[in-house]
Amino acid sequence: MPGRKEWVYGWLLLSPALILLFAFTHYPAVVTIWDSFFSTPRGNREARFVGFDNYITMLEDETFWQVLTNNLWYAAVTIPVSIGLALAMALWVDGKLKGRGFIRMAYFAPTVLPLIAVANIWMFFYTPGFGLIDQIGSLFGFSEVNWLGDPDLALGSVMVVAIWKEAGFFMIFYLAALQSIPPSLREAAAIEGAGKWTFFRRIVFPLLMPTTLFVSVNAVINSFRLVDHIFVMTEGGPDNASSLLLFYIYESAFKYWDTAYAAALTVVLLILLSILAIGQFFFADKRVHYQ
Amino acid sequence: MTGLAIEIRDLTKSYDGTEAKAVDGISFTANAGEFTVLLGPSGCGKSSTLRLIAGLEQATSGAIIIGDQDLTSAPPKERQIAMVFQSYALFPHLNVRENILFGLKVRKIPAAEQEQRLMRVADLLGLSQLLERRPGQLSGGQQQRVALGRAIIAEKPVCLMDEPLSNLDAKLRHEMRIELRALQQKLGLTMVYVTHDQAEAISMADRIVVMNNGQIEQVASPKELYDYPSSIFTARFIGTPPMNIAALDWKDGNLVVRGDDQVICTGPAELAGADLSMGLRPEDITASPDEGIWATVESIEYLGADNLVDCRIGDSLLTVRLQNRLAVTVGERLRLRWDATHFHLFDSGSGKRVSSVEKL
Repeated sequence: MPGRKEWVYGWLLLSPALILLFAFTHYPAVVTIWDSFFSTPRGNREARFVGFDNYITMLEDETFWQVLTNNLWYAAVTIPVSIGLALAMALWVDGKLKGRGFIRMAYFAPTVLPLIAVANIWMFFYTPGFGLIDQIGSLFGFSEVNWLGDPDLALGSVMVVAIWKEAGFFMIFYLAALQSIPPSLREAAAIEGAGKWTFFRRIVFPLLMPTTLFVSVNAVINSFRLVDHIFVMTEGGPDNASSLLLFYIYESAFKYWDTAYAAALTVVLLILLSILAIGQFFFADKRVHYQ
Repeated sequence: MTGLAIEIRDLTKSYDGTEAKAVDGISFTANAGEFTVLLGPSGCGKSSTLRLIAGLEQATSGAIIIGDQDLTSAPPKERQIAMVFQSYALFPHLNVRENILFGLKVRKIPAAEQEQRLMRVADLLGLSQLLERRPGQLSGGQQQRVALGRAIIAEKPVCLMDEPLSNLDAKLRHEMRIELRALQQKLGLTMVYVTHDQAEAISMADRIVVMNNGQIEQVASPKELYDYPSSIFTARFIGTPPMNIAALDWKDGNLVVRGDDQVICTGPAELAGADLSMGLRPEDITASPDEGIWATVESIEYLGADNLVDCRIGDSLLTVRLQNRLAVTVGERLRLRWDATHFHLFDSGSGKRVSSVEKL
């Protein structure tokens, strides 16, 4: 009897998590894949099976390719820059610094702010003519720049916001990892004659690898997932210059109401993210030393 | 490789924001090729002194002279020292080979020489089979050897050790003591070794620097320290169980234990009336059938070959190490005696030894 009871308890305890996971993650994912092989139902026209038609449309869709290219650039820039900045800032505030408590808080502040609010703040920075950046620029004689309206600058401008938002968050992880390195290692290295750079390269950086892996997986996911600021700042424009994959999925589904096409795009995004995450773990496994 | 002498002159260290001095104007010399132990309770400044010698802390005032160079404010790498840390400070992501070779690689020693020196050190310490392992895969004793290997491969004339054996179990600690001492003598290193364990200090040191409250209590050889402690602090710190200290009173020019009236000895006339205490080691007191001071047995601790017997004389309780075959019982009256050479007299106020009765 007690054996059977325990079995029931086990499932009861698991069920809240299981139900949430299946209802809001696994089931929608499977339905999305399923829907991507059907046409979009319109009016009294039922959805019908179209095989790979949605995917073929995608291959011929110039906007899709532009958005994908944008997103790859976005990832290629924001991931390394935000991680690099985070590490540099962590090394700085880890030192014996006056008022470092304040500096740590200042760096972390962007993380607590919702991205929508952040985007609004940056709108004021970017406003042509009287925005903060142009005002400072005008002091040095630079002319007005339409940061978000220029197709060549829009993507770069939204990248800066993402980096600003993420670097502080990643810094906290690096800071925690740095503080778990025993100070005696630094002293032992100093006695052996290792300079600051050698100590960083041979001891600190390798010991931070687990953190770097964790942070980079997060950064990759965020680079495809965080699009809130696009809504506020550019709505993907001008001419899709700052549109990202997830934003395009949103537009397809809820602006053009082409849900089947949006489902197909989602599947592509899922596959892309899975490959990246799995690849990172395999690539990093040999280089990461866990204590 | 031969050792260099280390001379410490009026060394003081106070940390930022505190009045208290961790190291308070100490001076001593660690002779070249000798094993010097800094001994004291925790917080006495012994580790701070070692860190000052290593250059991991900057002295507030005073001088550190290694060889004949004044290196008081030089960075650690210029001090010709190697160091073993209490926590070993091994690099967890590097294997034994890389850990030991770390310093040689930093200094860009040619690869062939690195390999040669590594083999010699690994052989000496019995690490040859473990070179590819990481610190996490080693036992405490093996990690200790790696830390030692990293220190001696540098072939520096001075080796500093900060409680290197405190993380080992009792048996291993005993073995490593003998090994460390042999290694130091074989290599001719000047060793400065910090410990709070008096047994470790006595068994390994050529000279012991006893510290207390940031100051030096006594600098002496282990034997001198045991036979002629210069203060009550040193007397109680060296030896297990510690030396008995009993307050004395004057009676007609003679000394008696406070609260008792049996004459211990004639008091030195020039100290008449001074507040004195006597010191006697438990192992220096014997029970005698027909002479000595009467005492009452209060408790007995059985140790096998010996018993530790607590005997009361007046206000004082004296621990006496008696052979087991001398059967004693609680409440029994005993006569205790000792040689005059084992009798120590201290000033109760300052705790300092009263030298005039050294040869009483």
